[in-house]
Amino acid sequence: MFKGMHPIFWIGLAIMYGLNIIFWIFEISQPGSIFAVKIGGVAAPFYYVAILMLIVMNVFLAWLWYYVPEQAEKKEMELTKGGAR
Amino acid sequence: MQDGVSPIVVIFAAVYFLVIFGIGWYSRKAALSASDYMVSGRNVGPVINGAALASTYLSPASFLGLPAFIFIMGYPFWWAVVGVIAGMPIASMLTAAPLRKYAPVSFTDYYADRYDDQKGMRVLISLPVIVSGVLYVVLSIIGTALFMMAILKVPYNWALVIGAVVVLFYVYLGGMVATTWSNALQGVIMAVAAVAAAIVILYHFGGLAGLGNAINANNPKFWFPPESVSGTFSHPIMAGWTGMVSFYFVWHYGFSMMPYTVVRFFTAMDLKAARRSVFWATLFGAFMYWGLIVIGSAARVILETLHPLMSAPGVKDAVSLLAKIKAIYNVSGATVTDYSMIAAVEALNNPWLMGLLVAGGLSIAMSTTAGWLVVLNVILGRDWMGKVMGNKWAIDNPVKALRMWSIILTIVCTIIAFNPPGLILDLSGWAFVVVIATIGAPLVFGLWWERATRTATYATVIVFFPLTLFSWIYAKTALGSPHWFFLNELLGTKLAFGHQIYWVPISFIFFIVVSLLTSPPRQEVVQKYCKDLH
Repeated sequence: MFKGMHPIFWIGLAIMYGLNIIFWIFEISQPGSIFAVKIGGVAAPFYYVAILMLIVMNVFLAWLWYYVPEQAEKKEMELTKGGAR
Repeated sequence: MQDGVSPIVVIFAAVYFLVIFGIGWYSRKAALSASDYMVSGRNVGPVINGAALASTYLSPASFLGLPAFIFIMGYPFWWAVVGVIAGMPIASMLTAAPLRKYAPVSFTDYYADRYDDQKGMRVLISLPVIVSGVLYVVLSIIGTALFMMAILKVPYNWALVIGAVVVLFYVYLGGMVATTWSNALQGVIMAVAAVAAAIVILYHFGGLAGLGNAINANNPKFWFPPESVSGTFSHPIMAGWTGMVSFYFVWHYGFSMMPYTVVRFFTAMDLKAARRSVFWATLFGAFMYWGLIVIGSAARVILETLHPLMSAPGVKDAVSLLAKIKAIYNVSGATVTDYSMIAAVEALNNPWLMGLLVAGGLSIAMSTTAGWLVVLNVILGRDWMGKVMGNKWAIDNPVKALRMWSIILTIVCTIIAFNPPGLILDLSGWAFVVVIATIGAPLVFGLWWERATRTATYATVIVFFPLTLFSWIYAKTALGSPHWFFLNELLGTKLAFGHQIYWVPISFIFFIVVSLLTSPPRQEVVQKYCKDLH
């Protein structure tokens, strides 16, 4: 199962779900409103949910999951060309 | 002009329609070939395909439904918003790359080839796709109608008819060529509209801190996460962790497995473009969703402090305000809640912003309708009529057959939209769970596991298609919400699971077990449609 899948896929998933679980446990263990948790006077979820988890992490993973396979394929093609010579 | 109609908003809508129909008209000759109609000639680059992917995948369920659910359920629903976008990059390596390498025409082609069954498999796979597709076209027509209502200030039923005619004309013109180019433009418009509305809202409240404070002052429950020690919660569905976590996963795997996005991987010019398309789609989607989080969170406080109808007799809060709007425009069922996001922007009293928002809203509604109609009419016109029934007219006139189904489906879905079975996001979540729990495992394991079998595919669809439909309807009718676990009464529990999402992991395990218990597929089939695609 999943033979041929580049390991970066599993690394990316571990980052994504790992961060989610950390934040969920953090929120569920809050005694009251999450509004009490502030970063620079701003309710913290505006930063760690709406920016970090929504934009930064997803755009990074979208880049990682096309860039790494592309590089691997490029390397493989170069090796094949080298072998053919 | 009708009372309350803004000429600026009408001009924005008119310009939008001129540009979109202009693209359709310009590309109509290209759509005369069946290949162009279905997969856009497979020559679309990554940025255009990515923007088109975003606008096709993200529907009125995103643009209207997500803010409405944040309005209803409060902060914990932000995680559902994150879950939708987080699922998008997963498609890049999981399904987009291998499916583009395989390069089929129709969504059902892969199942028919991989499971070595050209007729039965096409019929089987199309059943959940047709049900989900109809739900999606219905919600998209509702979305178009709500924006028509906002532009023309006409009753909901008239807005629905006008919306359906506009959508039909748009899809009839061009098929996938027109929808690819116009969808790409629509992808940009909807992201810009959501972000612009969010920036205006933040400016109004004096930034993130001001908005957070205003929300907390207006409705302190909004910010309560699940399992709070004090026992306070933002909404009963979000009182326990299962509600919040399950909603994260409802739409999470959809981008990899839903037919209307998977077909967009076929239109990419090559493997590299298919992967990069996912990056661009994620980028557009993430920024648009940031805007939707801000709008949905601010909606209640904006409505209650700025909307002119708050001074109307009998209106005391945002909920009674929406009830007033429902009465004025004769909106059916609970659909008016989906209008909360539009009403919030209306309350800001900025016609330029409203004009941009209706262009964005129409973009997202029409592009999704078009995407789903192409999937459905290819299944019905090409697969069912041509390949399964061998209908000579459909084989000789493929584009005419596809267009005929566009007309039939639009009429059927418009009739359902007069009295929809739930909120826009309810229809969307239900459609996702039905599709992913039935044909998700056969797609993913078909691509990545040589042992995946035809019998397991049949068993999974036959078992989980009725289960996903029944459990959702039962929970909604007997328990009052499709998000309560449908066996709560029997087990004496009060568990919440968004759209009965637990069927998805159960169906995947079921598929593996049945595959292991049944005869393996032919080696040459496995080689061609599984191993060679990596």
